[in-house]
Amino acid sequence: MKTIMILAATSLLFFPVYGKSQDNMKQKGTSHNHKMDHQNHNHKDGKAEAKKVSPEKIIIKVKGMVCAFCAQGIQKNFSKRKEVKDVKVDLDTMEVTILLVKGQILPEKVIESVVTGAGFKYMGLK
Amino acid sequence: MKKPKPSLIFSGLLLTFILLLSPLSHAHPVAFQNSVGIMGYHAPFMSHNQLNYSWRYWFATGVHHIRRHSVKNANATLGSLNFLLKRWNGSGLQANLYGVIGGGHSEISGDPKTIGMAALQFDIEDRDYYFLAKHQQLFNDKFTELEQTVVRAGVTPYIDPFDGFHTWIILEWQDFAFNRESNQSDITPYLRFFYRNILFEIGQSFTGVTRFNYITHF
Repeated sequence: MKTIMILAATSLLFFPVYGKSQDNMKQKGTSHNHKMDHQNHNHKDGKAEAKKVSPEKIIIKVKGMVCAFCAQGIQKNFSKRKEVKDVKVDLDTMEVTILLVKGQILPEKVIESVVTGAGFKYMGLK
Repeated sequence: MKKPKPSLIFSGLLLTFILLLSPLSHAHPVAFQNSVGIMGYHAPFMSHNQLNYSWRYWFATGVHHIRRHSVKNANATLGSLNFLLKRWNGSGLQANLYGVIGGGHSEISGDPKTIGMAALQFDIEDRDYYFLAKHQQLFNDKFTELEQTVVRAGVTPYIDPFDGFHTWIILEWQDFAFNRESNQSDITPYLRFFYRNILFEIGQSFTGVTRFNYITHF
């Protein structure tokens, strides 16, 4: 059914739907983030040497998050924080998983204000 | 100078395409904090485009352009204050009540007027179903220039993850009247598609009116 709907949508527009990979986590992991790369690289003799990063994972519970289009705000507003490496939203479990840049912390008050600012109800850390 | 990426060129073309087709969508008039929303509704007899900036999740300001295609030089430009009056965040559902007030300028066949706008919208949805009811009016000091009532219900044929490609089937009943003319109403089945922050709907009413709506926020 989904395939049919996607074909219908693309036919309606007369051109293909371009977009990023559905797996945002995977995609972000392979894309070049210059700022982040500089934080995690050792520049020796002009060559960048990648360091392994083991970011801390935070899982939060959010109430009211039912529409993927409306929940884009949560992902966007968390993603633009310097402490955050990646964000994954799961509408089935109503959870948001936040991967932090190594050594960074994100106070719970900030987490709550981002969730509230996106228009949802913060239900606490998992 | 670097050549622009094909995806950037495509995004530009897509945005141009959307803006040229220009449509008002029955979407949330307030989105998440610090976001910009562009949305439109387009039918052969009328189009309504709006640009909103959400200062808070409960308050946005907007600018609107409304044009009636069936009458020469009939258009309106307005500013609005959009409020989320009440939100219910439930386990697996969300419901919202919005109010919009605004004012601006309209011109019908060279007759300029100062006009006001008021709208009230209620919507509720879970991951399978969606319902919306909305009433809006444009009025001047003598009469109502536009009165529009919309009721729509939708269902999704499959549930995709957050980053997936989403589809909804929507049935809309609309009743509208321009400048004290008699009311017209029709029913339109729509297909709604969205991927990430780009949404569009296309439908054709049982009376043969084709409608195209879009929304994007960033």
